[in-house]
Amino acid sequence: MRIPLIIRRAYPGEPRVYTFLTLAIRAMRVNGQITAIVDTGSPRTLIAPRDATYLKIPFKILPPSSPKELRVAGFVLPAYSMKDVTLGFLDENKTMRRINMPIITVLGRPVPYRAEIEHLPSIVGTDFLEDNKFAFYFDPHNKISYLEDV
Amino acid sequence: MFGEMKYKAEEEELESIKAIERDSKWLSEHFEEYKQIYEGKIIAVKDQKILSAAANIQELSNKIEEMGEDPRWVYITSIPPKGIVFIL
Repeated sequence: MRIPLIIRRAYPGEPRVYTFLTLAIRAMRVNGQITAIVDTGSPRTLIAPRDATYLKIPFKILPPSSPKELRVAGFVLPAYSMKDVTLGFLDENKTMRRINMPIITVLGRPVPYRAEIEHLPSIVGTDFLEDNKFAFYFDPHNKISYLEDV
Repeated sequence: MFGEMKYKAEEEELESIKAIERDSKWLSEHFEEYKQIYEGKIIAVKDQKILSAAANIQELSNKIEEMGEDPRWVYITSIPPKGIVFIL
């Protein structure tokens, strides 16, 4: 079974394309959706500060991640662990498929604040791919990308 | 299992994700057109239209809520300023 991904440009000055997956999120006191970049360079699935804000993720009840800070795209950001997360996404038949992640990392804003952080995307990392046995296909030339069960 | 919060019903959630994927695809097809207008903004897309835009997510969330929409179930993304490319 395949999980289709969306390919598009993400930056006005950059001609290359990125691949995105829309995820429904359920966790303690959290229910909403994000659209995240699939990034095989990241070992962790991360929720960006921007997405954490509109999801109203309650940082105060989240324990710090280990390590407490992560370096992402050149920013050093406070990191928190959101436990027992259910993620939903559409397969090629437009059926909702759900998987459980024991932990997802949620990123806070840097101190001092930097406005560029608002543009940092959420990330689907290799933990998502490996733990749920997905292969990742990416053909940027023909604009085809999907996850597939292995 | 999920504390006291009431979650969207599964069927309703499915329809929301389908709509958000349609909006995400729509933006991918119109990125060149809208990058000029919304460069540097966080944008919300609903029903294949730009619903609102703002310089930061809190301002955008407030605008969306004033319009009677729930930002948690609207496609939200950004068009970074020219000159910014994140190497993740």
